[in-house]
Amino acid sequence: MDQLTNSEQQILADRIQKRQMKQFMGIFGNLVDSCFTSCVDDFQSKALSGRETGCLSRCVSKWMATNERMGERFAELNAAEMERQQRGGR
Amino acid sequence: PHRFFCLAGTDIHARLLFSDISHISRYHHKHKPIPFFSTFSLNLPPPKKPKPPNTVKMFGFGQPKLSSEEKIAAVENEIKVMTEMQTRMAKICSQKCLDSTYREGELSKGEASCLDRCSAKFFEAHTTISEQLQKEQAAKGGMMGR
Repeated sequence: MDQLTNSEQQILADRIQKRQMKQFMGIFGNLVDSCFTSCVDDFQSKALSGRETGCLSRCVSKWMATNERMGERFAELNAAEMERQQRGGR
Repeated sequence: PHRFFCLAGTDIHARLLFSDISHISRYHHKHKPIPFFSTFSLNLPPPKKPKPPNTVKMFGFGQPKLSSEEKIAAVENEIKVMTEMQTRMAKICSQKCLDSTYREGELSKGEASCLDRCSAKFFEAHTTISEQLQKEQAAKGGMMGR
């Protein structure tokens, strides 16, 4: 399998970084939607209550911890899958 | 034959996935923190002015080689696919495993194991469905004639 040269890797890295920045806003939006849906239900007042603020804060922490964990698992699983394919030969 | 996760540059992709995680904090100090993509953070210095890519195509004389641009695009595309899958997996497993009242800001042990198992099952389901789909499409293609 062809390897990318150093300059090609650099170009790839730049593109990945740009893509990540673009995707960040989308991801952030999903996070807001998801935490708001779970945490905020009471519309008697127009200000977030202490309970709701706490919930939002915990929601974000949990989301970050989840993503970190999912990232690790995904990497492991992907590696195992690729190894399986190379050994099994598809 | 269709190779499930493998496009040109697969070895590179595997390397990207396993880039040394201890470099993440250095990466984040220099750039905007994007923790979600820590899996794909690269162990490279801050981007300098890129050299012009080699886009010479070499066709004929046996095997056509992919141009530089095509190789990069293939890897980039694979990363895009991987990232999307990771996002979906995180979202679905969060819905299935996490306490939606968010009483705590940290993952409990039960939630953490649930997430681990959910991701393993998700992956396996992905593989199974993909294989099944290919079988069915091949069978259909055979029946209808190509």
